[in-house]
Amino acid sequence: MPGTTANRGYPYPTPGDPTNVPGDIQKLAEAVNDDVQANLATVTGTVRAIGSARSSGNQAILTGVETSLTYGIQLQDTDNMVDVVGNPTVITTRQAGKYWVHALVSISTTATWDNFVFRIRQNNSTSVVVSDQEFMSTNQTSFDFTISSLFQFAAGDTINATVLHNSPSTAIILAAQLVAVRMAS
Amino acid sequence: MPANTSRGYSYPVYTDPAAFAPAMQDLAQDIDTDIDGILDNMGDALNTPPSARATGSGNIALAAGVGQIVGFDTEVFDNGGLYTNPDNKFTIAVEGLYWISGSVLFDTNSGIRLVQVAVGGQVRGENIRQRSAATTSITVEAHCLAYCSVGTQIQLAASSTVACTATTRILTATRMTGTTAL
Repeated sequence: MPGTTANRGYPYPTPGDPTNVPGDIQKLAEAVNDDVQANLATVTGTVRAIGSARSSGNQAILTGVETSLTYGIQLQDTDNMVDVVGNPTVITTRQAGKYWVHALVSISTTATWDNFVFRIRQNNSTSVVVSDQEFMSTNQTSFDFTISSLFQFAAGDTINATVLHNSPSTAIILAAQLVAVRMAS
Repeated sequence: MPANTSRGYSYPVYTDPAAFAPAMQDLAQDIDTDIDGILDNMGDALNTPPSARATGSGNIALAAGVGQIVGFDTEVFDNGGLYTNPDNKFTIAVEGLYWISGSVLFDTNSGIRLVQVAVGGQVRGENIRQRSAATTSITVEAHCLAYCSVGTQIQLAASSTVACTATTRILTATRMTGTTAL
């Protein structure tokens, strides 16, 4: 009676089996072929959970009010994480895991500031990563920020990016983008 | 005596005694072990790449114009043996291309702040922020994508043009892809 290997179940003849050299080699070859083919398809077909969205227009940010950025255009969404119509300020994780999160903002300045805070939050609460800019002169008409980090999220958590500034006048967001990629379990 | 292919698959040579069934069993098991390892590695590479996040909370005094490697005192997660708490570095255990991010919160003082991500002693990412004499603290963040071989150390450095204090620090790294032979 033929035996099978311990891990993958590949067949091989045992000493008591009738000798059938081509037949036994064919069975082994086909078993290896089918196993590799099936598993390569599974592995190479694996798609990371990726959600990303960008703004669709300018957004006004009032002085002294931490405000979530709004996204009107879905870019990538492999795990039903983005809903720019029903929930346009967040990406929602569907699986627990370690996500690389990245946010970009381009903001116009019309007056001298001394503080601008750009932040990614978990569930609009815990700060995932933050970056500040100060000492903006009036001749700097716009500037861009990017921030990123790696953070553990639970399934159902939301990810949002916020800005807070103390300019004497309302600030205008010219563009914004938010990205979340599940890197590990 | 049987010979082996480069991946360790055994096969009989002409001078070996004829023993078809055992030779087939040896070959089948060699292939089994090799394929099983390859598929495990591929799955791990996709689903559990080495990833770590460490934070530091104690104050670090920075002298004016003197860069300093900052340390950490909390391991938030580490599935790749990159970090041993407490320490001031990640050490790569699996070679590959890593996305690295770090940030430092500085206390209130005027001047220019600099944060650098150092990979193997070389600056790979940095960010400079100037601040006024305002009363709020600021966080400066830097990131990079860098190839890291086994043993490469990742560190976060902070400096300022005026004496100040670095408070909260964060360092993260995750392996994006690699060249490790399967």
